[in-house]
Amino acid sequence: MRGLFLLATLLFSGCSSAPRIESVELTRSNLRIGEESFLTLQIADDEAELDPATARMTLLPVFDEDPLETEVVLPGSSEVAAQVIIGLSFSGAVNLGPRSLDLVVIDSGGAESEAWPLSLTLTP
Amino acid sequence: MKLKLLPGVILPALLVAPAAWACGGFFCSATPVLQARERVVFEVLGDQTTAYVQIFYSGNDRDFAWIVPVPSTPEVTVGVGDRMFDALESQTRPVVVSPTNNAAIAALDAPAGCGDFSGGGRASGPIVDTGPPKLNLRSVPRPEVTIWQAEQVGPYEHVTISAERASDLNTWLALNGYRVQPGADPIVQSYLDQGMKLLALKLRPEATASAIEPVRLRYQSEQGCVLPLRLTSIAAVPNMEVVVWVFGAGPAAPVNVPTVEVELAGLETTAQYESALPGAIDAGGDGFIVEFAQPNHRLSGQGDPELTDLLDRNAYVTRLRSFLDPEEMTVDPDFQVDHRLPEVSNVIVSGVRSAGLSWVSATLWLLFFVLPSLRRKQQ
Repeated sequence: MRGLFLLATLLFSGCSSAPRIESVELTRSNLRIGEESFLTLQIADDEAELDPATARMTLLPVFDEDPLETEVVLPGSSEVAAQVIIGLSFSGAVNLGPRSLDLVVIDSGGAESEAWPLSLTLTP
Repeated sequence: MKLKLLPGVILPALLVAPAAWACGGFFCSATPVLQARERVVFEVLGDQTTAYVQIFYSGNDRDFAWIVPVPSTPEVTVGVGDRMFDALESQTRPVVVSPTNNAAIAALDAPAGCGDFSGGGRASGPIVDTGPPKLNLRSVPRPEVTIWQAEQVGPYEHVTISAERASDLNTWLALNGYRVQPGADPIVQSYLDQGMKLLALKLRPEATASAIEPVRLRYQSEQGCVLPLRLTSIAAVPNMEVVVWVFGAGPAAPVNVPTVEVELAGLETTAQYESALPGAIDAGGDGFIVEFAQPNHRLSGQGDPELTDLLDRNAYVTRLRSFLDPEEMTVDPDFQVDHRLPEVSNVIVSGVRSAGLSWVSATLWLLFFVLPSLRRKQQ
């Protein structure tokens, strides 16, 4: 019983170090190539403050396309939760139509949040 | 004898009949959203300017957003209706009268369809980016803006906003559901540097596309009637038609862009006149043509209370028109009333547009000079 308690504590403390994405608002789900949309991202960490983190966005592939992946450094915050804004745009010959993306936040220690799925439609 | 004079008597009645407008196809599903045409009525009373704006655009109606620089926080109202613009259009649009050409006379009775006023403008096709595919992310600082006013009026919600930096203002608008065209930052910044605010207006989420209606903006301004065409250039169709009416104590003309003259000699039909306009405007330095500048008593409110009030409050109305490509919209035309300016008739008879020539004088001219001359020829 005591061993189980210790294991649960370890698991809990391990999870608590990873940032959490609590909400994502996308200003525009229909996006033209070259046009910028904005994500308002609410992230939280159980630590006392939120160190500068990294957001990694992945455009999931369709047909024979390679996945597109990009990262951006987010500002830190002295609070345990923060709201950050990310500008998102596409350029080049990206396959158009309904597309899926995954957003992951990585803290300064390398701990990753769960992926937050996003959908948008790309137009010329 | 009376019967022989009848055509001359009927003619003015046909000419002043309200034009039937059937331009309802601005709400296609194609993107991007582009301004297809602009009709604005200005009235300046002291330091107070009122602008009535009829908005035409092509594109996805749910993406509709209209952004205009204003010198002060405007009072925004609706309820003007399209009828005022249509009544002004029907009474001030140029008409070429060629008494020896029956086709021209028949054309006078033709309703002003979309083809007459679309300016031939079409949205250019999308530019396909064939470079390597790329996903771009950037961290955006929280925008610092000042909100002067945020209201709902009729089918619209609008906000009057200012900022130090255009990027902040445009980010705020984008975050709040106003579609800002890429590339707007430098132009918006130039307005902000002049101390201007921006009015942003969009349809309320529950409003339908058919709810698009003209808006009335009333604001304090020392500048008078300035048309913010530079911002229009961000999203306008090529060869976009711009029609402006200025109500005031006298005729009006642009003071910072050329007043364009059209070669009237040889024009026999209204269609020929319309065809000659774009070339004349290009050759004339992308200015405006004064097509009508007359005392207001020559116009009627045609049952529209707003137009009736405008006619009662002011002595003159001037109609100005241009056709401009987006890259030609580099100056915000400033229209000013000047008592020294000549009156201009919209009636062009045998290549002559003489100041003060009205429907009455045109009719008298036809009755006493043209018809007798034709009769003499027939005899």
